[in-house]
Order: sequence, then structure tokens, then C-alpha cells
Amino acid sequence: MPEILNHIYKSTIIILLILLVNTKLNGQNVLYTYVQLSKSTASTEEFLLEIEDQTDVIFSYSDKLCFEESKELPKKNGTIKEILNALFEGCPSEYIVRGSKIIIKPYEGKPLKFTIKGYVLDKATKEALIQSNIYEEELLLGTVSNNFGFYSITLPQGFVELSGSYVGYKDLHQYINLTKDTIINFLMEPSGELGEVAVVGNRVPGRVKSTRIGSVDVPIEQIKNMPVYLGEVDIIKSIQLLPGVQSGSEGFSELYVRGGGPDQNLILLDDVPIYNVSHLFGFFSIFNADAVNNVQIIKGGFPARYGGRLSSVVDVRMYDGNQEEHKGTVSIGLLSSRVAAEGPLIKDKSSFSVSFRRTYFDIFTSIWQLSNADKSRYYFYDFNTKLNYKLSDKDRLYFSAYLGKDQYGAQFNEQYIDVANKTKSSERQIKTYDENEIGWRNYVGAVRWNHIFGSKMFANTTLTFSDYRFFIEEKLNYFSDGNWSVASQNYYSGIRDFSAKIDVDYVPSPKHYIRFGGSAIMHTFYPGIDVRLSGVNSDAAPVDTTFGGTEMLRNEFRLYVEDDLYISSRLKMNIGGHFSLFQAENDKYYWSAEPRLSARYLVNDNFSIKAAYSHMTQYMHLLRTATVAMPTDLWLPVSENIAPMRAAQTALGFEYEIGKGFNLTFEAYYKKMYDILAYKETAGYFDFASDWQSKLTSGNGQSAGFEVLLHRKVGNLAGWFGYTYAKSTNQFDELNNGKEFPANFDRTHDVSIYTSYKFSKKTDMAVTWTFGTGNPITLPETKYYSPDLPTATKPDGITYNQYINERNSYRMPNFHRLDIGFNFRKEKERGSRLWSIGVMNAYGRQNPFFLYFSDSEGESGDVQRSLKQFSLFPIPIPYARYTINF
Amino acid sequence: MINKLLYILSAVILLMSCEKDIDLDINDQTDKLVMYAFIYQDSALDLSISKSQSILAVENYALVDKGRFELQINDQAQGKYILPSDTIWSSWSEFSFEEKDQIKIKAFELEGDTVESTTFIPHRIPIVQLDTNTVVKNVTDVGNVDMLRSVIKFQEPVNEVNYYQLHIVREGWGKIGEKDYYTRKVIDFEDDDDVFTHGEQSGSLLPGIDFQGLFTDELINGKLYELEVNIPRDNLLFAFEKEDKIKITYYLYHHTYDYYSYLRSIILAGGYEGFYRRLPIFEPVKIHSNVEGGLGLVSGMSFDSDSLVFNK
Repeated sequence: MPEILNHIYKSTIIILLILLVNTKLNGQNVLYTYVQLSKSTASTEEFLLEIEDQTDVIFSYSDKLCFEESKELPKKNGTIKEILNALFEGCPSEYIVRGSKIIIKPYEGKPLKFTIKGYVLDKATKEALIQSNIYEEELLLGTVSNNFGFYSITLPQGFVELSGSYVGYKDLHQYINLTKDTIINFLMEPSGELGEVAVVGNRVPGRVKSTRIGSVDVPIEQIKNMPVYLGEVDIIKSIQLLPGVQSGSEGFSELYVRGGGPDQNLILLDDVPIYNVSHLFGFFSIFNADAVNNVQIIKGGFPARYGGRLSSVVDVRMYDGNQEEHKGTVSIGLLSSRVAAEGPLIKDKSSFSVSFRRTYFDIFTSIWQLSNADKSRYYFYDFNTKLNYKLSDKDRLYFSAYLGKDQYGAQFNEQYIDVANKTKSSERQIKTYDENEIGWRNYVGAVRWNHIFGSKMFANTTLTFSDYRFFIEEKLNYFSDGNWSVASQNYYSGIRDFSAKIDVDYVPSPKHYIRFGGSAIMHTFYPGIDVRLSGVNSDAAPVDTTFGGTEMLRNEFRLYVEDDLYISSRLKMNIGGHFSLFQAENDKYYWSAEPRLSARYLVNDNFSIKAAYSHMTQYMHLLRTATVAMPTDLWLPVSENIAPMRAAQTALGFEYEIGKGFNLTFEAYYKKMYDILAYKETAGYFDFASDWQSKLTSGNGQSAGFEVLLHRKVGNLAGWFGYTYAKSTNQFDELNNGKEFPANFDRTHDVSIYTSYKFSKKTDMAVTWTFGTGNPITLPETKYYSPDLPTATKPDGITYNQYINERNSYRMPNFHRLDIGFNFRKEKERGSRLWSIGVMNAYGRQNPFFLYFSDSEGESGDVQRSLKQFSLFPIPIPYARYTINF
Repeated sequence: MINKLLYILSAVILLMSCEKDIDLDINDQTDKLVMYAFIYQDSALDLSISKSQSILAVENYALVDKGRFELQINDQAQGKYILPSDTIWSSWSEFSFEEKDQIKIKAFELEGDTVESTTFIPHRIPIVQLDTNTVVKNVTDVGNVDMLRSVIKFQEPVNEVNYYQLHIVREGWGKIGEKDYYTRKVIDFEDDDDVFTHGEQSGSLLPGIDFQGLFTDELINGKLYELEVNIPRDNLLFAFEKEDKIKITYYLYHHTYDYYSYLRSIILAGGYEGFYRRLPIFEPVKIHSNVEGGLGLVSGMSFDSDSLVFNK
């Protein structure tokens, strides 16, 4: 075909396609026909005539309408409806469409309004799409779906075009003649990013943009694509790559948000707080990505519905389960394997989701130790499940649970013991071992009941249970003088919560989205309990003795109310308050009333300025064992001597929407923290000779900085660039001679780049690069004589004392690392398979984990002393994982 | 047990790690004068003066070339003295001290720094009664163990904040061949008494650091208190077969706040036999000092004792 003909052919096809699309739109309603007027000032009648001339539309109108001799329109183009709205701006009218005829008549009395409600769901799986936008494009009114996918919006009667938008999904438009309260479920289709054309549709109008500042939603698909240690997808490590969030030590799943400590993060799994998110001493987090539907982190501008921690909220939502068909996943990695399944239980009524992950260190070690008398093993597992049942169109019931455990066990001291065989009056020989187990576990459960009251109110009532335990168990055999006895001893610490809460969403009008609710939590802190059981096999009755610490029962009550409201068409605010009450010992109560305020001013549809102010209070804190996460870390409540920690944060920023799912945000913040806790300089965790309260000292902290995030959530080229400049300091009267010092893990500069590129449907690649200023560290500067004391023996190897001049006055070398991963997919007859391979620390950067002084012998035999750096992952570490979806 | 946990962590870390020298500019601190003195009633003054060194130095301390010191007892100046330059310890028998004496020592290097410290000699707290009997206790990892239960009764003074240490010393006499045999050893005991551990998170499977018998009067202020400790039989009779006599002496030390804090801080800094220093994932502990302008410790102390003698 000659080139010119080829060009004409393609142009014709495109024009026909456009016309088809246009026809489809017009076919919905002539009110949405696009017109271009010749002038912007004319009489009302002249404008109507020109529209009739340009289109096939015929107007019929009442003489009660406000006709003007000279009317100036704000713009000369737009849909017929937009032009009519502008023409009759002074006297609101309604439009009735009969074929190509439009009847215009003035409202009699106040225009009626009706409510549209429903759920926003994935079309294929019926999974709730959380925080999706629902908006009326012309009126520029909108709302967002809640954590269950529910939305409600009230609009004037008449023709409306209601659109649904969710990142990674095609926009969905619904044309409705709104004459009564209506239920519309948005069943959204994934966009399938290949080619990108599919996602360039209507943009979410700026006016429906959230007032939230300091919060980031990370699509779970982006998290799953990241390069990861040993192939273990890790939600917390993904969050660490966001600006404002520091990771602490390399490789650990801890979060340090805007100068706060790791205990200042409220980590929620389906509304239930998780107190220890670590596996394997914090190298991995407990969240199994197969079970997770949505992840949101809030670093500032906290909505009133959240409370209890100073620095952040990490809200993780599990999958409800595919309601249409049964699906499954099997994934095999170097460290662990996972299986997941989901599907309907009763068609259109109930579905389930279940996933399980377990490591296999212990299987390998048991093979190696077959011939050994002494054996040891380590494993961790996660089990997630969620069931839902639709009781009626207005009622839905959910049950979710998480069980996870880390356990190290050892079997030693093998003995053969002769015991009397009572039935045969003889002796038999049995083999015994002494055993001990160390581990920690989380058991979490929640039952939820969603109920829709009328068309504007959604209530979620939840009962939750959360139980975190660290435990040591020991069983020993004693055999002497023919008597065999077994004694066991257990130690445990932890925290157990029972809570009841209700959260209500009330949407009285498009200008208000009110949330209110309350909760009551019964905490039981276990600061360290010993249980001894002795004489199991001896003639004497077993003796069960419980001693050590005492259980601490503490009650906590919370109430909140917030309103997401439009002050004007450009100014939207979220105003709220959070009230809490905490019962310390001896009937002493602490309370707090926390104002929460955030505002968004829309400069234009794509650009908004945001500001926020929030107060937070925290009634419990983590007594840390070391500078890295340890299972022995202990949650303890406030007391008569330990006041609650409090924080006030102010943030200011802007958001620019470059394209759908492609945003640039800038935020500057200032956070002041009061009564934060630290160990005294002459105390430590293992100092059990002192009451824990006397080991702590309280002080203040502050953090200021700015964060830049360029985030592209859709497209073949996706990912983010994040930069943080921050300065976080602490001041304690009893530390560092009262002088201010850098907070632990304060990083001046922090850069993170995450990029994923989809070469084809089969292949994609992901790269992360992180850079951070070295962490602050306290180093001794001098050493001095340490004499033998008249009443004590010095610890072994201690020949001198060290003098510390200033706390955190040095910095470790800068940190940077490159991780690369590839995913290779292949469609199979039933489902698909995925190979994930990659390498962490691709160029083998030796990042510091800690620094220490060491003596070594020089070439000439003289002793030299130097500062050494200890690196945890000094070489490139490859990973591979094989996944089958069916 | 906690050691096991820490060693597992160490093993995990060591499996994946490596180390290398790095250059970091350590602030040059001027060497500080370091002074130590532990003063008893009816005893001479033993004084140590030295100088600190850079943390990167191989030597742990330096000698003071031209050192001097002045002593005041109960605000009475006792004169100015020249310190030896070839050793850090010197003994001054011309001084003697009494209970409750207020002591001030000022030391300086000619054309150098001056340091100063004040202390007092706490009054003796008498042991009113010592009772012992034998018991059998179940001990983790060991099983049933014969122990000598010892009850040390003393009157804790009211309206004072007092710091104590229970110190138990075993001495043995005998003959090996023709040679006289004598041994002296500080012995470990089970410090289950509430005065030693009243932290709520304590537990026998998660043992804390051994503070070598230190305690305060926080729980027992003003009481006639019976302090109970158990000494494992093996700690008492480990060499009894070659001995004719052993003597167990119970020392009840009455310390100053400074001595108590210094001893606690060096024990904490050392951690589990120096584990903290070898795996520095713990915040460093600041060593207590009561020497103004320098480092070290000057403290008085007193004690009362009672003993048991076992003859073969």
C-alpha cells in the first residue's frame, strides 16, 4: 500500500473510532454533546439558538425561566449541560431529555437530592477497592470508598455522570437519571498497563483529591515486584523506601518515621494492632504479601480516627477473597515457601482467603544433624485467613485471623534411663533429652460486622484480639538414686489486647464526609512471668509455681469525630478531634484531647496546596533490649512515674498531579515530641536489679525536614523517587549533660529510587537504589585506668574504662545499595508461572552495621589499634523464587 | 538463657557479615587526670593518679610526671604532697580516717590540670545476727542442689538513703604435703532476695546481670531486715578434701552513692562478661565519676562482718 494511502487508511480508522466513542457518549445523553459557541456574550435566547443550529437538539422551555438580554459565559465551549448551567446560573433549572429534545424548566422549590451508594469492586474477583475515587465530573463533587469498598454520594436529581477511578484500573462512567436513592456498584477492570493508551482517560477531578497530607498508598503490585532479600516479599522493607521513613540498621524491618522511634508506629492488620512485626530477629516482617490487599502509611496529618502512636500509622488490609472463582498460588523461595488460596464459599454470599508461609531451615538442619545426639532447629511461619459472609444487601460479616511464630529449639543431653515397668515387674530403658525453646509469636483475630443504615451511613463494628508473646521454655530430666524426675520451666512476656470498636461513616451531603466512632481496649501486659513445673515423673505431685512479674491490666478508651468538608469549591478541610483515656495503676487516669486538622486548597485541577496540624498521645512504650529489634523488647504501659509521650506535628506541602497515577508531592514538616523515653546513661535492659521505671528518663525531641516524592503508580515504567532532608534531635536533662543530641537513626539526606519497567507481558525488571547519610553513633574518645575494686571482680577482659564525651556525636559512613530483580511470567494452560530472580547489594557495597575498636598486630609485631566497621551484607546476595498461580 | 538468644543473633549476623578498618576523625580530647581512692576507717590512704589516653592508643593510661595532691579531712588541711612519677598508686600511712569523716582530695599536675573530689566514710551497719541452715533448691540447668541458706539480720537506718553490698569470702587452710595451704576466694551466691531483684521483668530464665551483691534500702528503709541468700554447697566445699578448716565471712558493706554507681556502671558497661563490647548493638554505658575536672572515683566505705568456721 502506498504510504499516503496507508496514512489515509489509518486516519480514517482513528476518526471512525473517535466517532464511535463519541457516539457512544452521546448515546448516553444529548446533554453531554460537545459544542463550540461563536461568542461568549449574547442573549440567552441567542445562545440556545446557536446550540440548536450546531446540533440536532431542540429546546423546549418555560417562560418562567430567567432569560437575559446580555449574558457573558465563562467559556465558549463545553457540553450542552455545562453551557445551560452557566446560562441559568441565577435560577437553577432542571433538564429533561426526550430523545433529541431538551425540556428546560425552573426548579419549583428547593432542588431535590438523592443518594447513590454502593461498593467499588474488582470486576473479576469482587475484591474491595479501597480509597477509590467516585465523582461527578461536572459538579466536581466526589467521595472515596472506605476500607470495605463502600461509598455514598448525594447529588441533585436529574442526569448525572458518575465516574469511578482507581489506580491501575480503567475509569468507569455511569450515566444515571437520578430520580430516587439508588444503588450502583462499580465493577472496575484492571487497565493492563501494556501500551498505556488504556489508562489515559478522564482524570480524577482535582476537587475530589484528598485533604490528606503525609500519607502514601503503595500499590501491592509495586511491593511484590521489588527486589527482596532471599526472595521474601516484605511490605515493611518497601515502606522503608518512602521519604520520611528510615530503616534503622541495614536489613532490619524497623520503621523510624520523622524522627520517631520504632515503638511509635501503629501497625494495623485489618484494624488490629500488631506489637512485633519481626521474623528472624527483624530481618523479615510478618506480612505475607499474598494475603495483603492494600497498604497505606500515614506520617503526618493524622485523621482523627487514628490514635495511640506518635509517628505513623501503617494500615494493612487483607484480601477478602475472590467471590467469582477459586484461585491459588504456590511459591517456592530460598528461605520459605508460600501457598495461598481464595474463592467463593457460597456464590454471591461468601468467600474466603487463606495463605500460609513457612521456612525450612529446620528441615535442612534436621538432615545434617541426623547422626548427632544434640539437635537444634529454627523456623517461622505465618498463617492468614479471612472469611466474609453477606447477610443481606446491608449487612456483611467478616472474620480474619493471623497466626505467626518464630521458634528456635534445641535438644541436648541425651540420656538412657532405666525405669520400672509396672505391668511386667521389670525395667525398661527409655531415651530422654533435655530441651529448650525460644521464640515469639503473634495471634491476632477480628470479627467485623458491616451494616448500612439507610443510604448515607455505614457502620463497622469490630471485636479484636491480639496476643504477642516472647517465650523461653526449658525441660530438664533428673535421674539420681533410681528416681527419674522431669522439671520444666517457662518464662514469657508480652501483651494481650481485647478490644471492641465501632466506626461509622456518615455522608449527609457531598460536602461532608463525617466519620465518628469509639473503642474500648483491655490491655494485659506481661512484663515477665516464670512458671515452674517440677517432679512430673516422680512420685511427688507436680508443683506448679508462678512467680516473677505480675500481669498488668490496663484499660484504654477512645472516641473520635472528623469531617471531610468542603469550605468552598477550592478549599477542603478535614477537621476532627480524638479523645482518649488510659487507666494507669492505682486508678490513675491519663487523658488527652487531640485536635486534628488538615486542609487542601486547590489552585487548579492538578495542583493543590495542603497543610495539617495534629496532636498525638501514646500510652505505651517499648523497653528496648538493644539498638536492633530483639524479641526480648518489652511493651510496658505508662505509670504514675512515666507520663504518656505526646507529639504535635505541623506540615505544609503541595501535590501536583502530572497524570493519572503520577504525582509529585512536596512536604515540609515540624514535629515536637514530649516525654519520650530513653534509658539512663547508667542503666540497661538487663539491669534487673532496678525497677524498670527507675532505669528510664524522659525528655523531648524534635524533627524538621522536607520530603519530595515523585510517584508513578501506573504504566510500564513505574516506581518512585524519594528524597528526604531531615534533622531530628533529642534533649534529655539526664542524658548528654542535658545537651541536645542527634536522635538515633537521624539521617540528614535520604534518597530512594524504585523503578520497575515492564518489557512485555512476560518480563519486567525492578531496581532500587538507596542512599542515606550515615547513622549517628556514640563512640568513646578516651580510655583510662580501671582499677581492681576492693569489693568486686571486674568483668573478664575489661582492662580499662571508656569515656564518652557526647552522645551520637559521630556518624557512620554513608549508606548506599543497589538491588536488581527480574520477573519472568509465562501463561500456562491453567494459570501462570513466575520466576523471580535478582541480586541484593549488586555492587557489593560494605555498609556499616556497627563500629568498634580493635587491637591488631602490625607487620613489625607492634600492636595497633583501629576503628573497624562491621558490615552485615557485604557482598552481592542473589535470590530466586518460583511462583505458580492457578 | 538470654546468652543463647544473643549468641543465636551473633551467629546469624556473623554468617553474613564482614569487617574492615575505616577512617573516622576521633576528636582529640586532652588527656584527663584520673584519680582513684578507696578509703576505710582506721586505714591508710591509697591514692592512684594517672592520665587518660586516646581511645586509639594501645596503652590504657599514662603516668603523671609531676603530680601533687592536697588532702582535707573534715575541712582540716592535711598538707600538700608530691606523688611518685613511676607508679600510679601510692600509699600514705600518715593519714588515718574515722567513720563519718568528710574527705576532700585535690590533685594536680604541675603546669597541668587540677582535679578534685569529695567523699565521706559511711557509718558501719552492724550485722545483728547470722543464721544458717541447709536446704535443697531446684536450679535451672542443674537440678536439685544442696545449699547453705544464710540469713543476715541488720537494722536499716531510717531517714537515710543507703547503699549496700553483701560480699561473701571463703578462706581455706590446710597442708599439701609439708606446705601450708591457704586460699581466699569471693564466692557466688543466689541473690533471690527482693532487695537484689525487684524489677518486674526479672525471671530465672531471663537472668539479669550479676551486680555482685549490690543493693539499696529502697525496699527496706528503716526495717530490721533479714537478708536471705543461698550459697551452693559446691561453692563452699570445692577443695575441702585438702583443707583442715574453712571460714565463710559475710561482709556487709555500707557504700557511698558514688561507689555504688561506679560499680554498677562498670558492671553494666562490661555486660555479660564483656559481651556488650564485643557486639556493640547496645547503647554504651557512661561510667560514673565523682572527680571534678577529671575522671575516676574517690569513695569512703565501711563494713561489718560475721563468719562461720568449718573444721574437718
